[in-house]
Amino acid sequence: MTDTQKTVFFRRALSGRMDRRQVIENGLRLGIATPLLSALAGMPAVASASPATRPAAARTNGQATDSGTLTILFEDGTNDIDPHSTYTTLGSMICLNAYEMLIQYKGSSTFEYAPMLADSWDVSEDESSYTFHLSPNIKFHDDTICNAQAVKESFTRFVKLELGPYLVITRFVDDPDTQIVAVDDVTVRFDLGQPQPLFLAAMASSFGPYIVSPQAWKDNGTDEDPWAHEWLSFNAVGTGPYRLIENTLNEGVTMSKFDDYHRGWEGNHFTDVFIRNVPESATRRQLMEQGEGDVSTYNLLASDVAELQEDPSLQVLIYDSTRVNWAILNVPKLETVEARQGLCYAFPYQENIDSINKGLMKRSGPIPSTMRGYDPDAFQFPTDLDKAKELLAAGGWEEGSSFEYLVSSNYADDKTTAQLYQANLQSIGYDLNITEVDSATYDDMIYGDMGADERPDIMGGWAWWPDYNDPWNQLAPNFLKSAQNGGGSNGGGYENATVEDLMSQAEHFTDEDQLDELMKQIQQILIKDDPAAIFYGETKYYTILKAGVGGFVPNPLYLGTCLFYDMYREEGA
Amino acid sequence: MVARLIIRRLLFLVLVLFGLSIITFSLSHLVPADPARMIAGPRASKTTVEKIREQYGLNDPLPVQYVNYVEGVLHLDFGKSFSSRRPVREDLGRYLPATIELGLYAFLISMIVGIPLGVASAVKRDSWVDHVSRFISISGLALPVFWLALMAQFFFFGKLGWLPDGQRLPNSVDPPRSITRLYTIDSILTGNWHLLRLSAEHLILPVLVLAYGSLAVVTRMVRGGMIEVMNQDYIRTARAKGLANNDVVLKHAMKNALLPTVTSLGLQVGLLFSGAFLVEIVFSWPGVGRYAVDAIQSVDYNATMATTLVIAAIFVVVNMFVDILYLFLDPRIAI
Repeated sequence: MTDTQKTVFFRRALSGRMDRRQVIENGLRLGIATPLLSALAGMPAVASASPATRPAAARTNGQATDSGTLTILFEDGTNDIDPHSTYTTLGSMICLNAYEMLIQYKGSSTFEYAPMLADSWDVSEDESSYTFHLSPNIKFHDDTICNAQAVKESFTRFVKLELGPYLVITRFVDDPDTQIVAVDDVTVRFDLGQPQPLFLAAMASSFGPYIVSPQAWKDNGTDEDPWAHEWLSFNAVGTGPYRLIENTLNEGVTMSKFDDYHRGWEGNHFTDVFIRNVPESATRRQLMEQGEGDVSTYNLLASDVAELQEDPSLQVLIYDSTRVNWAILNVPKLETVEARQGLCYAFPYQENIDSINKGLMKRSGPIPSTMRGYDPDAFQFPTDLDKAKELLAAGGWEEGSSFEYLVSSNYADDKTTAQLYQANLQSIGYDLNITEVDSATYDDMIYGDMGADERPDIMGGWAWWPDYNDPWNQLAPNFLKSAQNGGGSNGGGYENATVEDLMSQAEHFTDEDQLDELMKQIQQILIKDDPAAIFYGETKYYTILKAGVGGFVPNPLYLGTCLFYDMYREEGA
Repeated sequence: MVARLIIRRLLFLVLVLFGLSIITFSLSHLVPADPARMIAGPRASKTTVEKIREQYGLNDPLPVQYVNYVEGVLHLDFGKSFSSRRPVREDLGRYLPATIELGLYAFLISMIVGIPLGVASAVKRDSWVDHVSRFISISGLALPVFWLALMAQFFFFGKLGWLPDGQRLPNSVDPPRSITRLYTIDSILTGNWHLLRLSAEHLILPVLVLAYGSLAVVTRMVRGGMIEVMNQDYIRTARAKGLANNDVVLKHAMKNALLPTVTSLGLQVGLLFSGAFLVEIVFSWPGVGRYAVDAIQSVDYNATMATTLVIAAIFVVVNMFVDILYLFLDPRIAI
């Protein structure tokens, strides 16, 4: 048995290409010590962990063990960690750990729930009333008690603040004074007035439904800002397992364990967490390779991910997400259906997946495979340049015409995709003028209220994932008429009467089968019959973890975040 | 003479800052992006965006916004940063020292290494010293700072593991008690030698990368100046009088050859600040360069304009001092 054999064995074991039995059998044959083999057999799978798989690292239970500091590498900072306002991934990650919702999505599931502040919950038969039973003796970081009244007041703030993700709650509750009832100290009831099968899904969202200490805004609010939004944008007073110590925009975020956390600190946990702001992706990769970072999620180049899978000091988890990508079509400018269909046929779908995203993407429509309402048989445009040419001409765009294509300079890959698309269109006699703008300008082009004439024909590189598992929530901000001109991100000015009608039914659905049927019809229209966009794929997310760091469970709805309390560093790692 | 120069320069500074404020204000407001939406967050309602626009005075006519801004600047109030939600003055107080520390050491290195290298290169033309010097000059001017920074980080941190990747101090270490906000100086002043070592280690890579371009300019200028001076009659006379080579070079040639280099010192400040914008990104250095880049990307008008004005003011003031220094070095100018 040579060193090479051992090296190959370790690489295969660490990369998840051997099952537990193979690791032990092959390892024993190579004369590797049993304790080391046990550890290897229990290591989290490295490649292609499905959302349902949980890294199976051995965990020290019983006595409290200190895992030290967890260092997470992040690409930017955030100026808003107010849980009722923030819409950034970093903001969401801080809130998920400094605050708590009533419930959370269970593990990797997007359909099941687990306790958070509430130990249990009851749903009325017609799904119009939800009662949550809180854990007793929960303390906020400011030492005040989190009871049913605090929960009611916190949701009242969420509704009345009208910031960021407020639709997550206002879809169900618009009058918190009467609709939310603090039954007793540990019981809170939501009377929704009509059947709302997705209320639990919304309550588990990582955008919004967090419980904030009422004392925090009472102490720090002003006449102009009674909800203390400014103060809570840089401070956090929740019940979560980690307290915010410092948030400096271009350095990072420091958090430390909250000693009075209601679930206790038995077992192996991190004492401190540092979310380091590292703007350059090459630096993030080097920090991971050098062991200076413990976690890095979806912020490296796709090519880096493939290479890092070979590094035995790292674990690479690849999993499905709810994030879908498309290029928005400016419908008033590209008026005819044929023209839009032609543009869809010309798109280099497979090249984009294989060459640019290195397999970290799969074809989908506007609803990802991880959500309710997903239609596995939905139509998907193939790349067919002859058909594209024919349809563009039929749609009133003569050969030699040119289209404007906008991308954000923040994402180099989007520009490369645009260049491949440009080559396809050129080969059939059309031009594509690619314009690169900074992300602020790009976002304003999509969310702003300028007219269709001021916008380009195609806005590429758009990505979206929902606040919670609700296809209506996924589609409404992007394709409804009300989301045009500053009302949402319907920057393409899409408008279709049938879609409006079907979406209205989907908003008030009571039966899951009915919802699936509605979504099937909507997707057929959005993708093919009256294309709103060029839907080119669902992102496969990845998280790079330092070897020995366990407890990370990817959830397609908590993208880019992690629950620090569940994570730990194996002893000796 | 000196007083007249200072007054003239200060008047010039006011003019420059006034012109610059108009340019930066116009350019910032020309960007087709809405800062109110940036502040509110992408999915915020129309009402919220409108409320923010009102709150920050973004609905006022542009001339009114400009006058309000200038009025604030005259009281050293640069407004509130849209990104950090803190007064920009507070942000500058936090980030500027990090850039000054970086720039200061880079400046010193480019002088301490560049001047002797330029002199040696001119005196020993076509020797190995000259070849090294010319290599540094050409590569320093030709290599983009961003690329150099990535390469330096890749080798010295990523491959060899000799130096830290960046940041001012390791994550787990608290900075020294704040006196000057320059960590190395504060470590010395508080007698904390461990922190001095750590902060110095973290400075090495970013400082060397930042200094490289500046070093190239200094070396090239000194070399050129020395070659020209060494061919002058008075140098030949000095040699004919039997003066030792070192005396000829150091006492007679160098003094005159350095005059143009002194002029370039002020210009180096601009070079260092522009380099810092890129170096700070690669090395995660929490300085004003990175602050400015973030401000530009997030349409943070107040922060963008304030950093531009402050950097311009520093540039003009440093050049004023260089001009004064020049008066002492070359009395002919005063005549």
